Amino acid sequence: MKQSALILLGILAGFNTFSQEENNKDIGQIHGNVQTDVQYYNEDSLIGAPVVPEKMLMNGFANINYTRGNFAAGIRYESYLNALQGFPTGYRGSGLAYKYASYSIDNLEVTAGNYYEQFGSGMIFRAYEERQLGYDNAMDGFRLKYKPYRGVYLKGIYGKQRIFFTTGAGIVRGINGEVVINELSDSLEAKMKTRIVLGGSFVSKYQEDDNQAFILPENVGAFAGRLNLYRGGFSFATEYVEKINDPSADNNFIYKKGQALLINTAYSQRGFGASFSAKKIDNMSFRSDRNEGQTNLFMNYLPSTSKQHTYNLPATLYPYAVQPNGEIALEGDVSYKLARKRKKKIQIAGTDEFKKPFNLRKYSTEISLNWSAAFAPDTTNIRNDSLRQGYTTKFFTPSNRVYFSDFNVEIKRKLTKDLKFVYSFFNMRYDKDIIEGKTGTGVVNARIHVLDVTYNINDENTIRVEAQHLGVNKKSNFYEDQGNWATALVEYTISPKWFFAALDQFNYGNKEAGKRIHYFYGSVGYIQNANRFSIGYGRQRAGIFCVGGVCRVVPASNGLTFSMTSTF
Amino acid sequence: MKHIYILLIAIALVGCDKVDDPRPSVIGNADGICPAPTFTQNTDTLRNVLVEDFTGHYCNNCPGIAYAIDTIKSNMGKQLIPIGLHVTDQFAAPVTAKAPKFQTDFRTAGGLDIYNDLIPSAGLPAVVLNRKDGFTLTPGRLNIYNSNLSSDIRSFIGDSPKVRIQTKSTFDNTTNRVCAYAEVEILTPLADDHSLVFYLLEDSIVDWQLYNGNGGNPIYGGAGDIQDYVHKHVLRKCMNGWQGKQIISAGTSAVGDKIVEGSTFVITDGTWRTNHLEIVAFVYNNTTKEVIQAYSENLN
Repeated sequence: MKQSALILLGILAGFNTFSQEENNKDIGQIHGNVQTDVQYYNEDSLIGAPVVPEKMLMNGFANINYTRGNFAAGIRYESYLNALQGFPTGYRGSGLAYKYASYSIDNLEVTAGNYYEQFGSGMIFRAYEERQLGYDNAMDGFRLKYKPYRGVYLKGIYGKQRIFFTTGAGIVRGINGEVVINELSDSLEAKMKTRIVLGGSFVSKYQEDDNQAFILPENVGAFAGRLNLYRGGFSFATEYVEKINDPSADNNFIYKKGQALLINTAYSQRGFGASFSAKKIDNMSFRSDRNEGQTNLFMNYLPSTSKQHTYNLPATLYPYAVQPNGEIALEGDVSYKLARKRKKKIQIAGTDEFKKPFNLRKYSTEISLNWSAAFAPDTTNIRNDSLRQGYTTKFFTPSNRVYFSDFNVEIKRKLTKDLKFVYSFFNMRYDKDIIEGKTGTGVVNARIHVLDVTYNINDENTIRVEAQHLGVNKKSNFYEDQGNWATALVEYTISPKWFFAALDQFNYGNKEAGKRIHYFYGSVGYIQNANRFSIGYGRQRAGIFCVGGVCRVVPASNGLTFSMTSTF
Repeated sequence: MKHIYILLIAIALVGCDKVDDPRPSVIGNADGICPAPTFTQNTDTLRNVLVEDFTGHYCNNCPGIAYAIDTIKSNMGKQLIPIGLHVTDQFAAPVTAKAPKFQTDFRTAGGLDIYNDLIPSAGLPAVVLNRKDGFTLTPGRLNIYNSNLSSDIRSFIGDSPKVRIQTKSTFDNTTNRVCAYAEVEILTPLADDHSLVFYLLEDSIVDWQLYNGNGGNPIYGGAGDIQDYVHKHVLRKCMNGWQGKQIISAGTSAVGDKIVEGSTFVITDGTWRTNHLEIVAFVYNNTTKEVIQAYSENLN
């Protein structure tokens, strides 16, 4: 791996040298960025922080990209010495995790090496990186993108997927085609007011049958069809995916086909927006290694249909993780902006004079409502299932079991030129057994209030204060989990260089008195042009961190954190 | 670009393997060969104890444990189902240097697979009871401490079975075909996959055995090479493979379900005494390996 890094850097240096010799020519550009996160861990058995034998851990990333005309090449060097707590322990050591070269010519783009890619919504195929999750299923192989005719876009992929510093057992190959009807001719472009995009994909994986107990399919294919419509402020997008028999550790090696349907529709106009999503997933875990677990080697991405929150308590205590084995989910979202009303002039009767103008509503108010829910599908187990079909299911019929629901309201209001607030309320229902894969816990019903006030002292100094409270429903049919929480945050920013923050999370409602703990955390950040440094110290509680319905468990920790990002 | 299209279309065409029946072709499947019998209502209420005694004719300690098992069997009757599995090169291979003694090879491919799966590299004699873990201080070690044989067997005596098994088996003297059928009745919902195994045993084979004089049947006297040693319940054939056939899928069985499966085998070795044949059928948990019920039947 180190050898290949040197070769690639050598190639880049070669380009540079060559170009410098011919001063008049384009020498290309090198860009990149670096990120390092270091954490020193104190022992803290009170909060259940795991003991870290190394005391200090580090994750580091460096991207270097070279572009010249229609050619691009790059590498990413990564270090996990050892991986920060909560990251998959498979990341260990240093190496060249990502390397690629690509060029485009005559409507054809070729990439060799690593690449990220997505077909449609991603339900059939998505290779992507989400660094905060430690998620990276980059492809390693070849990709072709070709535009044979105006409005027609083709992609072909072939390769293996990244797992830590190596690649998985399976080979992934796929094609994707998209036709933008409007672009097919000038006349269509001019006449059609509705933009129509039709698409289709086929993806398959190969993995050797290494199982003596069953005849396993070595080639598992999936296909997808999709339709997107856009007109004015209205949009409609739907995709259906079907996967043939794919017995795996995720589905207990059943041979049932997988299905997924996603419908997104939205409407927006000035000051108003509404969207609705519906999704059905059935047996749609699709990995390039049937024996893998956690977030390793997923070939597809199952979109979340619940709102991703940013405030600490709703974001990290009870976020929803999409259930690849099956769920039926709905989401509705409405936002409305009460328009500013201008100063009104009232004429004094019988004169040409006007009364002193007054403001009807000087500043705008935004209200957002969001509701989402995910249900277990209505299934019936097959008895004496010698063909291992597992169960039968009705196509879009939810059962009575609610995996998750979230009703939330957000009101944003600017009170003066310098003062604004955001108030949010969340009512969540969270099936801990299902979402966290536990047994014997139950359903948590949490109600969360958040008040976020920002005051601009002057053009450079801003103070922001957050107060959050989470109360759990203590009725006998709900699980109290850790009980009630309260959080306070003060953030002071001196633009454009400094920020200071202090946070306290207090689990004051824990049933066990010894666990009514304060989690203090303070941080300081400094931004100098393209460089950003931050240092934090204190306790961080255990929680779940999710991005787009994909989650990782974050263990409790106590210590000093240093982060640096830099771009060039 | 035509080549690219052809390549992509080819990918699409070759990319799927649809499996209609995930079960590997089962060795010794009786379907269409042996007529299925009719079973009467099974009323068994006890969990039987499958005793797998890993042994060898050149294992001088083995007669002692075999006699202990035999003695317990005489007290427990049908609830105890012993099997002698001759395994390893060291203890069960023909001993050239001792010819003409110890020249019979009682080892079977299935027996070796079972040994390697359950107790790889264990010394002999080694005894496994219902393939249950937890009898020793070492998690995952399935062979019991031999000194605890009696008490460990007794620990099963009051157990209720999760399934009932009964078999109806036949031997055809003209074709030398063994047909074995088992009816498995579910008594408790089962959360894991389970498989059914048919073993064909030959009982009381008289042949050489090395003996150290400790704990064996007194009729053999003291230490030495015993010529007329009686090898009991010797495994001859794993009729439907050493792993058997999966008959229950996790979480899909219901109490009262009855599953009938058969297996067949034609004996070609003329040295086997067909009037000493015995069928043992048992169901084990594919995840934990534990045998949840066993049943034995003499063929004659």
